[in-house]
Amino acid sequence: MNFSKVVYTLFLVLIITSIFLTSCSTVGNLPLSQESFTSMSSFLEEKDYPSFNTTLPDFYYRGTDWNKKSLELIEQATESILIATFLGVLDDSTKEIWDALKRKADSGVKVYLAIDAASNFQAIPETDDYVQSAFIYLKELGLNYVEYNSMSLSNIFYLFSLLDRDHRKYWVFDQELVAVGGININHTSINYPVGVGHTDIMGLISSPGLANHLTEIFVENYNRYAAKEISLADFPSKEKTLESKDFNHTAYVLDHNIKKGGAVKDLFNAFALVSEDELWMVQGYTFLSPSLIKRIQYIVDKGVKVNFILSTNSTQEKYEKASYYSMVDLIEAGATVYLYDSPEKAFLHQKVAIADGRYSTFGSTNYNFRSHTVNRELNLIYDDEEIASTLMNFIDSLVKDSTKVDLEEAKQYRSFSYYLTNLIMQVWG
Amino acid sequence: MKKMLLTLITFILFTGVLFSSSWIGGYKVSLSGFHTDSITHSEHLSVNLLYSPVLNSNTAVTLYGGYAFSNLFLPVTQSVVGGLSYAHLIAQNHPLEALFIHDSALWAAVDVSVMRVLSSTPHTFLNVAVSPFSLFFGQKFITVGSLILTYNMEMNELDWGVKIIEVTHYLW
Repeated sequence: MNFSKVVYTLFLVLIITSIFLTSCSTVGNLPLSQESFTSMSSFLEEKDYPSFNTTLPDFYYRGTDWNKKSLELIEQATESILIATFLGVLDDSTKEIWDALKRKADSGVKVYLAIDAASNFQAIPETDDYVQSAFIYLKELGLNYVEYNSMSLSNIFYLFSLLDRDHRKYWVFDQELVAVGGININHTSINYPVGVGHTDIMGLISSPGLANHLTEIFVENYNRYAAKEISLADFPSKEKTLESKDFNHTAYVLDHNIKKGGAVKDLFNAFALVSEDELWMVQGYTFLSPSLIKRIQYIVDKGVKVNFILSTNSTQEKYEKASYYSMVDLIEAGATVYLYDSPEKAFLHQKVAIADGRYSTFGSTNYNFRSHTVNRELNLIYDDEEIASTLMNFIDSLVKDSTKVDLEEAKQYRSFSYYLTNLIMQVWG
Repeated sequence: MKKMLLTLITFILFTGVLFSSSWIGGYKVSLSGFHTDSITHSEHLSVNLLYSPVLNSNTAVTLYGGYAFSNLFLPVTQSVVGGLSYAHLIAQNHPLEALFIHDSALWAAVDVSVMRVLSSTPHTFLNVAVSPFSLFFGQKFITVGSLILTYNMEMNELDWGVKIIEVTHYLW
């Protein structure tokens, strides 16, 4: 290949990548949207995001707490268990879950798992070693699972596809109970620091409608990677058979898939548009791009007090460096930045936003470029003061263990090393 | 023309991630050998883009087209290839299942293609490949040991070949 061909190819790749990055990272025309914005619900309904009646969510804020609860839920399941998790690994902390699922499958409960292939590349904290992914063990147990977008040899012809990762975490039990949040089935989420796990969130909800919707999403995704398809008919809906006066909260579901135009953009735009007083963003993996800064700037310019909580105690230095680099941008945009330092040295992996003490969202979505584009993400949104109040109480407890970061301190994290890590994590993180 | 083709292929590959509800397209590569005097007996590597209008749990119908060459670094025979394949589920459970980390199913396939050899004396071959052993992994097929019947349409000669391996990988 001669020099001109090399230049041509590089130019082509650069142009296509630039178009891709620019078009996908745009936050849209927020001032224009603000003019026509009437309410959170009408904004989401106009964009066809489905909503379902649910009970008041029970929140689990620590990896170990969720792990204990999930084991109980597995034991109680009588019909089906569907689990989608970004990371699934095998170690002492997770083995109990896989073994419990095996026992349930043997007892006749339909158990299916969808786990992202990124599970194959998870480091043990503070070492250069990798923990074993769960796939081989699941195969040995005879459990039904698929690996999302496996990193196989045949992908060498299409390396770009390796960026497509399923970052969602949701569980569906017996077509009735649903858990959505940020906790993986891996050694760090549920057990690092040992006996604690990440500070995170899983919301446990009873909602046959939401359960049915997530089952549809799960089955479609599972069948893309399975040699033996499963059928929706195997998971009959209980929407018409289960009715309860407790289903008096409404959850909007944002299932991000880039082909559907970007639910994550709508998620954060909804909060940008609805905020009038105060916005809290708990986002340990904040890796900003220009358009994401622009959105924050827009919210601040509206007169909204914007607060970000980032975290120390990351399991890998690169996550801290990439998010710390963004502190200056946040502060210069007018946001207040808190740095959470857990007394138990747990990383804050939670992804939560609360606006005006009324609107809240939780799920898998980070405030970064990957979540806005190539990742699959899942969040629930509530317009509900009771739920927002519950979450706000927890945020208050986080703030007590946080320090406010000023511009002078933030500038310490603007070295080339931080810049480079931030740049890499835009795509890799 | 080559630049346009390169641009188109690159664009398709880069935007493939945009289309991801159920698989309809991807690529396949195969390694074959032909026992015919009209073309070299060296191995032929074929690279194709494919479109599957039908792909479900027991049937796949695939249209494909691409390029084949007989030596990676010094092509002595270059061809353009286009064809249609039909694959069907044979068994969801099979004896080799335990060997693979991913769930697999055994399929069989029949493939009809036209191969136009680009040389000073062009030959056109009609190939029919029978693949009794194709493993389906959800996003890909791995096919080994296909028998090819090849018919030289200019020379009216019937001969044979073997497709050693074929990897079909869906991207979008």
